[in-house]
Amino acid sequence: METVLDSIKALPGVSCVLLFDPQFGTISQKGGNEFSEDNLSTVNKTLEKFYSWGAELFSDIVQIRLRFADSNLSIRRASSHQYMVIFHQSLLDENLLDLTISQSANSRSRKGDLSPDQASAGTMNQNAPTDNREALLRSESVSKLLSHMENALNRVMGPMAAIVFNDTRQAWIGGVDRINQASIERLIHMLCTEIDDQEKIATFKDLIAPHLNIR
Amino acid sequence: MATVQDFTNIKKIDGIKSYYLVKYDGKGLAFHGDNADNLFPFIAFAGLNCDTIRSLLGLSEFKHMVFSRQSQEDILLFGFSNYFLAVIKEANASADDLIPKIDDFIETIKKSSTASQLH
Repeated sequence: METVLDSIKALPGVSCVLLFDPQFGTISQKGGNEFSEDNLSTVNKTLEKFYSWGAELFSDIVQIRLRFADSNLSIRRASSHQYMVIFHQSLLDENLLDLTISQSANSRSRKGDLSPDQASAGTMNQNAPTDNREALLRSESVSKLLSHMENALNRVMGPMAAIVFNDTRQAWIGGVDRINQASIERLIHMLCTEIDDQEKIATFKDLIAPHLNIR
Repeated sequence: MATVQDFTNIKKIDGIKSYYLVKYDGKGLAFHGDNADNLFPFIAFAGLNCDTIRSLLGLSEFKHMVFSRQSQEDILLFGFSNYFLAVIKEANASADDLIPKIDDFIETIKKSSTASQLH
């Protein structure tokens, strides 16, 4: 997630980007040192109230933007329990932001398939304990299924799906020693927990249902 | 002198599906759309807290707020005097095109009202 925040912070006009959890406060923050911690915390909580109340009235809210004469704020969901808040001076190109998030998340995923040492060397250690899991992930049928799942998640969650999918996949693969019906169902359950919306969960399951024949 | 009735003309702006005019205390003054009883307090809450955020962060004047939705029927919220105006746009309308038109509409209403009161 740090890489994603760094990439967003590097966009023109972005002065601060942060990730926060309503229960645990700010998880990570890039920029925004001019704001006091208390004030920023109050703003984050207020934005989260906008989002959660708004989502009760309209289940398909994907982002909230506040425009002031000299600056802008936006809040969007980063996962089922976390939000991303962006402060930017000029109007931010939403397409550029979405592409930046997707690109950073996918880049992180490619590196995340390897341990840090392996990633830097660009090679796979044949004796690494994760080898078996990685090999399972690379099998054609599993690779296709995961791709279908990510696409379906993108349909129901938008650009943040790339981050959510990669985080969930990493957590899931850490506890898997074989890919079978039960482990796939566990991954689906973990993704549904992240979606956290019954209507969207139903859509997600409908989208992946035709691709669930794993052997 | 502007009246609440003047606000019904906002429906004449192309791309607006619904609108809700709310006083700062959450009392609904006029609307065209669904679920008004639940939306009025939410609109006032959001509008009032925008000013709180502005003050906490030392920002300048609040302009508007946009709730982007997957359906593209985004909700646009504006504040003026003691009132908040929320608009739900048509899915095929552009928020960027609508916002200046709504700003102009509000300016016209403000110019023709006295003492920041609608009648």
